[in-house]
Amino acid sequence: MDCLTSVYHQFWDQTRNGLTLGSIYAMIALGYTMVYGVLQLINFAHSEVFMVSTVITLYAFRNWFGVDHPLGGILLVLVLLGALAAAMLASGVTAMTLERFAYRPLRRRGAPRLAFLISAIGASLTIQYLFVLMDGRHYILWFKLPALLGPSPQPIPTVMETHTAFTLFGTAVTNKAILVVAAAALMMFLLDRFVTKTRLGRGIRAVAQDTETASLMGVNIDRVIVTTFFVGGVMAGAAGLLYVLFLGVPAFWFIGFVPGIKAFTAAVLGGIGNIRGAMLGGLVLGMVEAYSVPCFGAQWTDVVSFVVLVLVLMFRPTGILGEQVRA
Amino acid sequence: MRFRNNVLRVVAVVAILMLVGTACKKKSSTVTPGTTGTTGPTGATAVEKIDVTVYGQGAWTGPYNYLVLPSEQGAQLRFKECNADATFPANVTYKQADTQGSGDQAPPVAQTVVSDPNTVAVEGPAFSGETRAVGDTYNQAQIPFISQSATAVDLAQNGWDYWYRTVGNDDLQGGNDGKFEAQVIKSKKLFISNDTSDYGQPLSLTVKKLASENGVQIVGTEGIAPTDDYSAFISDVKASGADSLFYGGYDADFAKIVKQGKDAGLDINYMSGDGSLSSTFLSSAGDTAEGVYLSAPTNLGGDFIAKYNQEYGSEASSVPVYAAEGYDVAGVICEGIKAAVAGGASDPASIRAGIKTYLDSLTTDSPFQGVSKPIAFDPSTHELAAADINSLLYYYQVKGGEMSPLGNASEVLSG
Repeated sequence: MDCLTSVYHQFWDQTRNGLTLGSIYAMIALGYTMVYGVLQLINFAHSEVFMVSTVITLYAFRNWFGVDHPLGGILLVLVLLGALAAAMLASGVTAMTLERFAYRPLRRRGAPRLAFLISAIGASLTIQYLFVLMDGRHYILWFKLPALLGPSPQPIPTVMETHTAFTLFGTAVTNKAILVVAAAALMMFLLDRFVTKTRLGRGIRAVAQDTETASLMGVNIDRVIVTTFFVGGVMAGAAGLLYVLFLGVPAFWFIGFVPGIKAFTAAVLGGIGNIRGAMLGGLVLGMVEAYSVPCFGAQWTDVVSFVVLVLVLMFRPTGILGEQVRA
Repeated sequence: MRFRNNVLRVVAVVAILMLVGTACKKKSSTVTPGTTGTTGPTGATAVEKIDVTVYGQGAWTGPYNYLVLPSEQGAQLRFKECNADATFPANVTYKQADTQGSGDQAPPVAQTVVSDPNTVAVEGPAFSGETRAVGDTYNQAQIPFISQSATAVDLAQNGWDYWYRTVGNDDLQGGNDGKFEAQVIKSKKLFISNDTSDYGQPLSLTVKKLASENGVQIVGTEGIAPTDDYSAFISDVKASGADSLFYGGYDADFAKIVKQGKDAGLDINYMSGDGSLSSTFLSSAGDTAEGVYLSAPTNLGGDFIAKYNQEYGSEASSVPVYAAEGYDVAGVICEGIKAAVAGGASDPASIRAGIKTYLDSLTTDSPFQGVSKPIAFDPSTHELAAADINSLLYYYQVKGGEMSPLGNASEVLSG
């Protein structure tokens, strides 16, 4: 009973926490689910696509825009949009590069599923450690690696001051929380429209449903796959910027690991391959984690997340919304 | 098609060979201050220098490295001075044993140290967790390992004959911090938290015990492993009605807690131990670090710091935590080497034994005069032996983006 009263007392607080972080998980989960939909492959390197976005955000804020104090008004909007565009582009390109070099050669040769999996993990580790080595002191033969990140975390300048926008049901809703949820909602809405209303989106759904028939019907499979990776990467790119903005954490080569696992869990929870499932899964996972804290304490959040995942899969193996890449 | 495939295969193989070549390329990771072994300044009789190696084990790189680098810089400076001294009978090469502060990464590093025939001592390990992981290894190899900063209490309870510590432990720190919460912060409702590590957890629990003995109500105890998102934890703290939060853990994580806490409107007192006293904490927490309390058994305002800043200039850390202690451990090793050679040692193995004999000979009556404190060890536990140990625990508060000293525990606390 103590658990329930604690949850009751903190309900709106934790709902706000769960929605905010859950939105970020949802955006990353989309990358996993879309790639699975078209390729039946879990892109384990997606967490590094996310990490690249945090590094670009760092550079955008610190180097390109030279932010050294929190901004306001129109200047803040311009800086955020500029950084967002750069981060999304960088992540999208990273994802496309992954597809081109880690997966396409295997696809051409009709490699077994296991080969894709190994390649994914290898790609993930390669990108992580490449960034570890990029501290300006390491070489690949004669070529000096640029000092982009290195092994230590790099603090990101605070561009936005946090203040409470309004209080709802006793919980303070900050401007950052509103930004995260609004941005995530907008992007997911746009993605949904893209997948359901555009020709390319229809192609993605067709390839996810039945690749052979889709190609017989004239869908360019390669282009669809590249687009899928790009769009998933773009979503992860936006998630990366929102993540470091909201949590104020430094850019770090390993930053993608935990959000990647959580987002993958969210994707599976909502129904792997199902785009709306990924969105729902992210939000559900975020909220479950948040509500578990007053109940069990902060150290049990991960246990709770994975127990929920196991339970859902036991009773509904295809996830909450099922597996199809439905509109 | 076939031709293109073959070309691609050749390119792939060449790329792999290039990457292997990079890996084999010798990285400049060894630090060798003044090892040219030149004869000293004119007039001094130069001695035949024995080549020895001392390893500094700790987080040279990684997220927690600014807790360790200042002490390593102190050590490098001291070894440079020792080597430059023409009468010093050895040539010390000070090498990095980088574990990133992690107990998981420590064992292979310790293996490297132990298999190096020239090793005579280890400075460190800097953290308590990694000490636990490799203590038996060093003890069995009979290599003296002297820590400049590992404060966990249980390290002294392993019966390691070759382990020594030059700072007060977490009973000292936690005990005084508990009183600090009661007497200085005047907390009525204290929330205890830690990073579930072997360092942070016992420290926070000691604070809990002493705080409640001094009349503070403990409204929550939570361990949360290092993560990026503390929002749910912060909501929990808020709901408990606490007016003060103590966190046992490290700088990078405490910075996130403080930042996210203050962002979420949790305007209470924040305090942490020596694991958070670093430039990483200041740079990561930024403006939100203002007003945060910290404790550590190291004096940031000591006389040595001026020398440290002069030596390192732009590379000096803004928070030179344990720099003086690092300098002193190196000093004690140098004296040990001198004593060993004077006693007839001529090879690394006998120098190791000689260093241990020297360390065991230090008492509070005849200590090693370090720049941070007189150094002597308790004969049974090898803990730092000092007349007034409370005067060796220092308090700080972040003011104007800097660590402002508040005084030591003897001065600031009563009873």
